Amino acid sequence: MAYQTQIPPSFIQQPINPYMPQFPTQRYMPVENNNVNYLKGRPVTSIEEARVAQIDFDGTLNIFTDIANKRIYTKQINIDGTSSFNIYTLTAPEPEKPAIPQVDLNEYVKKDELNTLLKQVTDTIAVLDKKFTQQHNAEAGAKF
Amino acid sequence: MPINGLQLIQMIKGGNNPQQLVMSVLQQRAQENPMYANLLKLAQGNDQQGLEQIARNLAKERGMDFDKEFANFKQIFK
Repeated sequence: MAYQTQIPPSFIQQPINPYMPQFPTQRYMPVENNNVNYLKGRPVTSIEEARVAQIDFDGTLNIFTDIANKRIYTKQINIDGTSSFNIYTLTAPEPEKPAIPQVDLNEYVKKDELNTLLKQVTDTIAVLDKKFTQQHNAEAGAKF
Repeated sequence: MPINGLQLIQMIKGGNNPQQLVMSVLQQRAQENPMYANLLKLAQGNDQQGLEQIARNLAKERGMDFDKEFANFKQIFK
């Protein structure tokens, strides 16, 4: 069975009539998008430069990067005509601390408690040893 | 299209009502600028002290002497 492809009439190439006026083909024209939000500002070299920078009165935030001093300044006009000026300073990130393994304290006793128990055991052994020696000596004396 | 300061002065000199002109400019800009909205509110409430304070703040922001600039502005209409 043969495939039949239907070509839309608009795709069929028309022979070029040399007497027909030729119109330029439609080309892509970039459209200005006014809805795009972009940041206002510029790089500065000092805080003074940022402070005296003239900004728009429309209340938008202006950002001034001061890389040499590791700071970013923001400036905007408030509704009462005053300006807000903020300073953001770079801070070095804290080094990661090694994770401390979790210890189950139920498996351990305090050193004092252990020493007390050891002393009790030692004392008990000493008492028993003394009794055993006395008993042994008594038995030995009875034989002779 | 917003009216600039020079156009405003020319319109006032041309015989237009300054108050109406300024109010129309404020109404035009108040839609997109909160400071102008505040100015419009003060103007509608006839708060001259508040308006002057904003003008002084803006002049200070631009590094201008308000009293001197206002005196120069008034000279234009003499």
